[in-house]
Amino acid sequence: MGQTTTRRAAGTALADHVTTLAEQTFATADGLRAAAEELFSGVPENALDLAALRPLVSAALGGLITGAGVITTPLADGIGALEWWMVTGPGERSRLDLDLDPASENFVDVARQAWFSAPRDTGRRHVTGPYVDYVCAEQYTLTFTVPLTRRGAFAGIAGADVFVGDFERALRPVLRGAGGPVALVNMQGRIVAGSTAHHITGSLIREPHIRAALADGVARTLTDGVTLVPCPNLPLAVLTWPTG
Amino acid sequence: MPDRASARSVVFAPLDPHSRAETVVRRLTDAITFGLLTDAEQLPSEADLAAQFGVSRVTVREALVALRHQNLLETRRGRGGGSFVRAPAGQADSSLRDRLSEISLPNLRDTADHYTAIAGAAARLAAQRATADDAQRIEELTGDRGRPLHRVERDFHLEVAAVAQSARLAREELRFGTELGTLLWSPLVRSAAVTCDAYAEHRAITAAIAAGDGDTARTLTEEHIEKAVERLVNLHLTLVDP
Repeated sequence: MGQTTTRRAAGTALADHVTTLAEQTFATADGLRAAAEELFSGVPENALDLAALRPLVSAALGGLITGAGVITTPLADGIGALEWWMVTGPGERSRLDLDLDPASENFVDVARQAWFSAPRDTGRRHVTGPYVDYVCAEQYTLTFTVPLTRRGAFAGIAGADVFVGDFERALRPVLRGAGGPVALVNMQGRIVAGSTAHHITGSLIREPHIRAALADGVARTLTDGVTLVPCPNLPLAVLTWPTG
Repeated sequence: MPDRASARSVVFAPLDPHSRAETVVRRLTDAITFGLLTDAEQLPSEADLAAQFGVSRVTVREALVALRHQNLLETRRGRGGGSFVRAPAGQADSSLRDRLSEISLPNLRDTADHYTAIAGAAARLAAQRATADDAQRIEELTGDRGRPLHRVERDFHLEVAAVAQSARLAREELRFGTELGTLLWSPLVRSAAVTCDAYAEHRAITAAIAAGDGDTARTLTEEHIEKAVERLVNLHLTLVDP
């Protein structure tokens, strides 16, 4: 019983740390959302120029955030607009150039991407990943997106990217201090970061009882001593396993 | 017999700036030949091309001049002007035939071995790491017959590498997609082999990934690529003069 309490405390410490980092990242995305919505409200759709957001998008990069910006649903001409920037090297940034014209050969259908479709379908913020982002930075990534609205309707997303490697590094002190096996997982049971070789980033939790508990999303201790601590208002949770 | 010391000095000789222009020419020629750039399509501006290829504008200009000489581009002046693709009918086949008959079989075999290792490993890991949603995403890519096969192939194998959770394997897929994929999955090679059904092979690979059967997913992927390479080699052999 004592061990379970300690393990759960370790899980809570990691969940708290994750929540802090995620909320900071979402705060950035939300700032971009507010600016984009204000821009939207001021002009007719055919005069919308997201370039006005560039200074804000540029300022969003740094720390854990390696990419940020705004992508809209198709505008009057049937083509979405985007203003998204990425860190491409030390002191180096580049603007993401996606072809959002459905008639084009190189069309990138952002509606297929969870970072776009999840906020659209739920009206809520979303953490996508860990996933291989072959559309933007070609890196293993977590993408934090919030829906942006225009006259009450979904009009696109604002978001920020964090490389999984950087996120893991930021969590490392807490992972190491957990005193036993611990892992941060998403709602699919995919491991974001773990403290043992068995719980390596990118692998899946296969055990049905743990997956069922994840789907419930309620803090609890399972019969085999595994504890689950959800990260509040995030599609992430921390699992701990008994030591020894 | 080549002198080893001088061969080494060649390796470390400064890069010829013209070879960059040639690389740009090759890239654009391939894109036009394989229909990635379509007839009458406008190319990005010189400045944009220079930025995208990571070369100087002078290099881009040199490449565009060469493409104009090959009648693959035309330049229109004034308002609405720029460089436009010219892809006369039948040209695609004959350029591809030229490139095919020129390839070196040992090099092709080595490139294909490398690619098979990448794609096979990606399929095995994808089977280990795919959720039901992931399998669904791959499945969605296997049904669309309206698109050119080399694009379907690129998207399919790229998605598999993404589901494998490997950014490195995905980057390799992107690289091979342009390097080898356009040749491997070209319509010309397919028309020479009526028995090929890449879509059915994709569905079988996808089923193995969805079932979590990594060994089968890998084997099927390796066979899928080996068959394509075999078709390519056979076509090459028929094109080479006896």
